[in-house]
Amino acid sequence: MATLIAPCPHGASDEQLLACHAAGHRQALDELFRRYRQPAYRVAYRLLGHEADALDAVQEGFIKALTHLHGFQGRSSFKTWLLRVVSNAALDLGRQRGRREAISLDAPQNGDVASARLLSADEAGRGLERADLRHQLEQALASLSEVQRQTFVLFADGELSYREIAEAMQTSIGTVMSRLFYARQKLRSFLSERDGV
Amino acid sequence: MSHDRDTTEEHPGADDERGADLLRLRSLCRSVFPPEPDEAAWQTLLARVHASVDGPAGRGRSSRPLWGIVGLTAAAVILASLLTRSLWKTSVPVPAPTPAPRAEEPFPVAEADDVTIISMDARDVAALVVGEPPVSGTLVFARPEDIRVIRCERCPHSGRFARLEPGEEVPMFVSAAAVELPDDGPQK
Repeated sequence: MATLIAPCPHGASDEQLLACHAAGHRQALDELFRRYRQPAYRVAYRLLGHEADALDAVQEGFIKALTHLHGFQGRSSFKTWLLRVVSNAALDLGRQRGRREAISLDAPQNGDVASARLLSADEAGRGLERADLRHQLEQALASLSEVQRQTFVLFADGELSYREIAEAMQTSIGTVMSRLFYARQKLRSFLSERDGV
Repeated sequence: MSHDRDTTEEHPGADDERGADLLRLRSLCRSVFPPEPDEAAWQTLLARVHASVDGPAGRGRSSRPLWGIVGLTAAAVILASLLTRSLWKTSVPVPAPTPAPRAEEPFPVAEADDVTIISMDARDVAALVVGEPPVSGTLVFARPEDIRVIRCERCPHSGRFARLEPGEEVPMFVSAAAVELPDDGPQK
């Protein structure tokens, strides 16, 4: 006897999409993926500094988030749940792979900023400036502890609120604020360099 | 749940320097983000997710089935070793697991209600700030009945004792008195 599956409504909420996914709608997962692949990738990339590793973390995160929905139980938004899983997967992956210290292939290495400037002399100045700033930011982030870095990345790249970060990291809002306070202190030099650019 | 965020969370401390710095850092992070993978890479990734979530392995299965086999094998080995050990009654000391080093964890921010000052050294008074500076409200002075002198000791520098004078119009007035008192002077 064939099973009838109710159509998933257009413009469905995350909760509706999860219900549709549980009912067997393949397109529901497609839509959830389309909605959150970008913040998930940004969080993973910022924690790992490597595109291939970041994609692995995103894949692992989506799979774990969808196959461990019993741990989610709707206590937070799906985005919060997903970014929690993705960021944890990224940190695990970073530890397993010896942490590539957030050095991306397109970012200049230590002491190479000047040569990168020469190599990119024929490129657009804006692109060079972005690469330099990206490198400075990655260096500044590398000075943070793991939890401070995860907290800041969920705030800056995941665009989560204090409360959502607290839910994602299973801690108090006060602790989130404390971590962001320390992160801000350490990243202020980056801000001041940015002002000097 | 973006709909229930309050304004202060959406723009945390937007009026103060800290909130402004954080929001600037957030916008800078957006501006210096590297190019994202192309659509083909995303579709490949999505196909892998589908294969793990919807595939023949079924929902709820791990994306790495080999781990399950490895885990079962490890569990079997551990069980066998435990059984063997109990049969042979050997007493090989098992080293205690070394606790993993904890990541640097800043102290949570304490709220005003979380702090109760029970006692403090008088020399630290200058370092104590109560409330949220700068003080914008009305300063409320202590009244005579708010003060209870439990112990009074001789000043280690001047050798003098303090003297409490309640006064009539002035709420309280404490001054150092140049009065020579016995060595065991007023203690209570």
